[in-house]
Amino acid sequence: MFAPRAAYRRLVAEPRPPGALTVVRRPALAALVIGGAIALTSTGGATPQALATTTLCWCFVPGVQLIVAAALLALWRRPGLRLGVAIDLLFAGQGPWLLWTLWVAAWALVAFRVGDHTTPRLWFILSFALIPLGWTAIILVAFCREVLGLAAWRALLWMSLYELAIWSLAYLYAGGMTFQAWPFGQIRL
Amino acid sequence: MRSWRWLAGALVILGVAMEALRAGPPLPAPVERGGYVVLAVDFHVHSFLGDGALPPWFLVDQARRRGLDAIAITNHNRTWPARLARWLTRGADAPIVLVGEEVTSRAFHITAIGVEQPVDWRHSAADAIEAIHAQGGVAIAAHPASQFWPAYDDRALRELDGAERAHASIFQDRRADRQFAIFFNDVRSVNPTVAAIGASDFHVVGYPGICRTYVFARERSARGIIEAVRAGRTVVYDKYGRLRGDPALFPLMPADSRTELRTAPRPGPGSVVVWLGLLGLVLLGGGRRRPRESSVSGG
Repeated sequence: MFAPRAAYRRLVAEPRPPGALTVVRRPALAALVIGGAIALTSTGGATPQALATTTLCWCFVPGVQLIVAAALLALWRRPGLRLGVAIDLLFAGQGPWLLWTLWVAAWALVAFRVGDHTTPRLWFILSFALIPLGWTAIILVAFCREVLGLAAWRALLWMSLYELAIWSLAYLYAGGMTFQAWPFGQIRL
Repeated sequence: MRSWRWLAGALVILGVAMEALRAGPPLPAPVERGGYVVLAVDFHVHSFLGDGALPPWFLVDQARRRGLDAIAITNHNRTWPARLARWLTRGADAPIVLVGEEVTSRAFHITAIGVEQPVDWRHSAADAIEAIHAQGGVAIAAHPASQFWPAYDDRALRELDGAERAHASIFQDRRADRQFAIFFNDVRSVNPTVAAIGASDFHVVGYPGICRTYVFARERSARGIIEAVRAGRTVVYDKYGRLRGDPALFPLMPADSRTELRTAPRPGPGSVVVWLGLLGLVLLGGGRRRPRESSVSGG
């Protein structure tokens, strides 16, 4: 995570499990971490039922990332690079966001534990999301340079397209569910 | 490295097993006072799919763990998650699910309880309340902070069935408690039977029932709860543990009845073990094995 280009050079050369396992192992890990963090944040615990429920519900997040990544990689990747391998390596760069979800969970656990409901406001906690936002952009550019073999400006373009697609979908989800965000303020679904 | 990853995975499994073995806190049973059954209700909870983190069926389980007799699932401008929760818990010995929505516009947020169809959020507050009443529901001013006050004209204030006097934000924002008190007193001055409402507005962080309403219902049912709110037979605890609502009901409140904070989640060692295991999986997930063969050709 700290030296993404060197890490990707090493990861590209690594042997990896065959077939579907290559594609699903890191998205599955992301789903487990997101589900676990939500279970801890929202219930203060991780019973089997809580962990299974939240992981199942929120696995659509890495699922959507996987679909967007597959679409972009199908259009634009180094000849000879298998799609499954590229997806696996893309998801290797999810560390910053997963650490951030665990940071929110840690904060919630401490707040529950001490029974203190006057802890800093949520926006303060969420503002730390700027760190993984920037950090992930750097990792994505490294992914494009080392794994996809793209030149610098193409790497920036690929990263921008990927981030734009992901955040547009997140916006549509939030806006569509509340009708508060444009264009849902004007259009009745 | 591989063995460390296995250890992190084992920590997750161990933590989950520890959590499974933990007994939940004993929950208070509904009590009867003065001919009423006193029910603890959270009138403002959000669920997945939408603006909440937990799915409806799991929210009901959480409500039971937090000692609630009923919850209203009130997603923004949506009623189907609540209807789904009611359908999933039909016939079960579970907390009552009240179908509702949070009618959400830029000018106001009103929780509509007991409605089956979404109310148009482009209405004025007074018209939205009228539309809620037309469906047989009750209208509650949600987190009525000062920014929402202009939306409530005299007609809206007279027609409101309840106003959130206790809301989770009172624990985070000193101004919130004061503003909710001012609004509640303003409504009361023109509408003496308006019900004091306590609600969590639970989305992701916190827990259902962190603020709750003690409803004096004639029967333990959704209909009984809605009738009690309409009649203003509710009591809530404010931030400082003082009773608010109908003063005639204060003497009927059971001793040691403030269950809001007593039923809060108390994370145990298992939660910490799970967290450490997940952290280990994230940090060790990249792998550091020596390269043996390349998966990339032509590179």
